[in-house]
Amino acid sequence: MIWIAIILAGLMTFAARFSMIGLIGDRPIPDSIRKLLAYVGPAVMAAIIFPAILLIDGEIMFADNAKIPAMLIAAIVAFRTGNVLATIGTGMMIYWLITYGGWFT
Amino acid sequence: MPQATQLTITPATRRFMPATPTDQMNDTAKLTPMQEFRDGIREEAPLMLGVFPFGMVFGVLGVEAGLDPVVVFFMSSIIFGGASQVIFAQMASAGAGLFVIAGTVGVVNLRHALYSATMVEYLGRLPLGWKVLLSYLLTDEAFAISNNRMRNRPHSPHMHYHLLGTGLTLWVSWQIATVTGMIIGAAIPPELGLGFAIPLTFLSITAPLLRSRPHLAAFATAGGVAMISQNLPWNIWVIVAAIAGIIAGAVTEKMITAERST
Repeated sequence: MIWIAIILAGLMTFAARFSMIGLIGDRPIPDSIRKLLAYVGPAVMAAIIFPAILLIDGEIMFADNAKIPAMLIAAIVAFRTGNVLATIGTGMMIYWLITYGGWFT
Repeated sequence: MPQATQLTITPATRRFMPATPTDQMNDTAKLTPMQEFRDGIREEAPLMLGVFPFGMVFGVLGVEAGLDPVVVFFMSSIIFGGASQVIFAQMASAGAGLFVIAGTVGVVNLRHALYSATMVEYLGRLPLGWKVLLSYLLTDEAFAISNNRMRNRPHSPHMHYHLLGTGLTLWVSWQIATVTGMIIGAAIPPELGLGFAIPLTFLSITAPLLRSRPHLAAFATAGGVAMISQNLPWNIWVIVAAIAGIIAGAVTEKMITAERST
């Protein structure tokens, strides 16, 4: 039954999200832990971003990978402007220019 | 505190006023629940440019994987976790066992326990109902935006409404995007590469943080470890890479502090 898999997956996902909020509650967090938590954002984001860019069908691809130049240019936009719309827009445009327009090929 | 704000205190607004004298010193403490909620929606909105195509990609993929449309639809509210739903659909169409699929989704989403730990400081005192609701809404995109607000702007007694705003914005868009993908699925050419929108979205939130050296170290290390640990079972690389990045960030911070003090 696929529903069992979905409900189990949903429960585990919720358990992860609720875990610390539920268990620790209003007890104070030690400074040493708080220092680590400052890096949760960039660390998790990188763990998602890198494979999404570099892997194509499970293989690492550097050549003929339109996502790499698109990502690098989008990174410059993100870094300089901090604008979400401009970053996503630029990245997709460059990606389409390369794949449809034949840039860099 | 400026004179003008003093005059606006009426019994109706008093319940939104901060409880402690120190809180009264900062401006954000005056924000009402509605203002926090609206800020959350407004700050989350631009991300929809990336989230919506990704939700559509999932809708298409779910149907193509041969899953019942009802199953695809409810997966977006029962699991409510983008990347893990894509993995679910891919594994199901590849004929993987149901417990293996559920386990993999669980492991991939284990990273949310890190978000949960980060949010304790801001949500730990709320009643259970709030904790359950906000935990359910604690996705990558909502966390990233609300965590910025919690860390970088003055605390207020109603700042959990910010996470409610970002979380609900994401939830509603995700449901609509899933259905849209299911309906117009076949009309979207795969070479459009809409899935690329999601790493771009995450990049747009993260890049501005990378001016700080420890954050950059955390980012680069997690990325590198994610690449070399791809072959670990159960997609455990997600959490392994995240923890490696966190440690790298903290170690770099410590090294910089040591440098400065000598």
